[in-house]
Amino acid sequence: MMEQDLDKLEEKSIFIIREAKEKFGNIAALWSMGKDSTTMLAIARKAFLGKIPFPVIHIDNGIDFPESYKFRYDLAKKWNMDLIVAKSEIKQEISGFSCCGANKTAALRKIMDEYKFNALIVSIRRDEHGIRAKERYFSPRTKEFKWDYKNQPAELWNNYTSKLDTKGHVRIHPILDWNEIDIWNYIRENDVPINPLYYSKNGLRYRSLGCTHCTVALKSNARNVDQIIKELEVTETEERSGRQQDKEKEYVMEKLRALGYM
Amino acid sequence: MIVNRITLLGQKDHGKSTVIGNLLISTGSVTAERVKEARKISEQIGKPFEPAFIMDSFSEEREQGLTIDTTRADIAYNGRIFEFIDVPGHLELMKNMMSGASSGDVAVVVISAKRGEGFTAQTRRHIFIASMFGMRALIVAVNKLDYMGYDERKFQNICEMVRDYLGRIGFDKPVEFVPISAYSSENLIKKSKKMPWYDGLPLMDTIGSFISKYGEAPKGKSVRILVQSIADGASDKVAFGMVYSGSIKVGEKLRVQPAGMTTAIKKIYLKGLSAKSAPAGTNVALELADISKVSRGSVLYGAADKPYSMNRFEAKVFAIKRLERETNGRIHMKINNNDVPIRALNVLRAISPVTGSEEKSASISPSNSGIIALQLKSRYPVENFEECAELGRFALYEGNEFLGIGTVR
Repeated sequence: MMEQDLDKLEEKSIFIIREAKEKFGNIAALWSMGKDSTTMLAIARKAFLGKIPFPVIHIDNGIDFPESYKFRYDLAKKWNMDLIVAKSEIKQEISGFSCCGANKTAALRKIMDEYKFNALIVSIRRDEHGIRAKERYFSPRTKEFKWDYKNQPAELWNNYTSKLDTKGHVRIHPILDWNEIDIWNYIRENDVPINPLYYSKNGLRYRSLGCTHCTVALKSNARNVDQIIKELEVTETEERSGRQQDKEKEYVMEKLRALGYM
Repeated sequence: MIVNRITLLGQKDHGKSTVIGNLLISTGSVTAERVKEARKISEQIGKPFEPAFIMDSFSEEREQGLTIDTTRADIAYNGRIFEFIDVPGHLELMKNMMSGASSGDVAVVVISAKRGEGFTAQTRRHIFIASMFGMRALIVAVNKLDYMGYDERKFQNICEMVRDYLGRIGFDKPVEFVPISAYSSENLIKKSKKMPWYDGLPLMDTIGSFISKYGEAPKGKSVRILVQSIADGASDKVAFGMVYSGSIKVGEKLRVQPAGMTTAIKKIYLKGLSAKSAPAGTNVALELADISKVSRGSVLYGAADKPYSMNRFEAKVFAIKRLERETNGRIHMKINNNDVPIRALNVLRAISPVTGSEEKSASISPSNSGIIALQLKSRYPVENFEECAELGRFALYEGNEFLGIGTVR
């Protein structure tokens, strides 16, 4: 696991979040209650002198873990978030492409339309999946949420795109450079509150969080942040190995992303 | 830990992705699962195991055998992290290549010694652009020597051509040559037994030694702060900004450009907390004695510095679209994510990035370089690229159309 300089990572993330806030007046952030988007919000608080200056969207399909709902309630209150809960429907298909693709994306689209957001902060990281390595920090999406990855705007130094299909939006990726281990090191150094599902219970813990239907716990005895970091230093498994959607079909992530999934 | 950035340059099919794929595997920088996936895909499309598939993760790329967009890969070696940035090699993808070349300082160019491949025009363009944008050292990996019987003369032929070219474009920074076979992992990590005539270090150690010597850009001591926005702070308005160079402390006087007036720092916030000083590379929030003339795009300089704000200057450019005299007011330069309108653009000379030859010209054709004179609509703080890279490099646009990139002379 590749550890990087946390100060440098954090400075770049702050620059990107401030730039996005200034460039796109009507901006919101996605919050899954997972470690990455929670870390991003912790950084945003530092960037803006203790406040999160944009609405925070949680796409709620009603089948998240009870621990997550409690975590959402507590942290939203503690950090004084302007929280928008986007209800998504669960249809018959229970996991992967159809669930994350159709249901969650539909809910997000509805919210984006309703609030007319022109930019959305999404806490993806390059090391999560090969496809994500291709992402820009500022990445335009069409109204249909399509990602034209073959024709992305040049991103020279800090000249991010301001080009915007009037009906679409721009995805902002402030923690694109971070690796999984960096997130945990940052959480440890900054005491970032974290969803308890990441900690081992009865020999199992979640390493990556989806909803109850498509996330599988991994064998682990890591009961706190220190133990998680120790575990990651020696692990041979991929972070998202407990996420079914990544495995269903060849290139399923690619399809999900072209469709606008996070 | 410091991440050492390396830009990969070179024509497609000359083996960049294979170099990185094999380095990822042999340094254990990639999980077993990812290697398995690449193996499976190789089988599915009926090819022998191709390490490049670890890098080229888009289906289209695997099928067409080229890297469509900028890709990054982190390699851990000898207690350090090397971030390789792989850029596409096709001419029509030059636009994306420059996105890649824009963040690496030490470059590795992969050149195939195989018959019919060699030191191509495309590879020369890559080197030219990288040298324009601050490449401080170049490592030339001469690849596919397995096809040429690991013959030293074939290696030396390529070295000769590259040395000659670098002389023509005036690249006077350190250069090292390493003979390799990426596919067979010869001279990547371990010294190759197949090339006993080569007495230098293998590729990875060459990179490590170059990074130690030339990897860290010298930071200027003069204060340069780019202002991103003005916001409400705890008690007063604050300027959010990035300290590009120098370090600042409370009480220090600053000159605001392009406004020209001076002010002083009342309070500094670093990572949300009040601080007495701030070093280069940090994002700050500043309370100033007078913030009225400070706005997005302003640059704050040390009060003793000469004023850099100007409206006429010359620049070296690399054209994506044809460039010629333009006074229609529709073009602008994008610098630090700000759009700065241009009153007039005049082409002075054209430079061939393939041969390095320079001649008087009124236009610059696509994928070529040259010298232009710019007149801005109003003064803006720009600087010589060599003195302050952040304030000396820009992209040219006409509306949303990307015309080219430039560095201030």
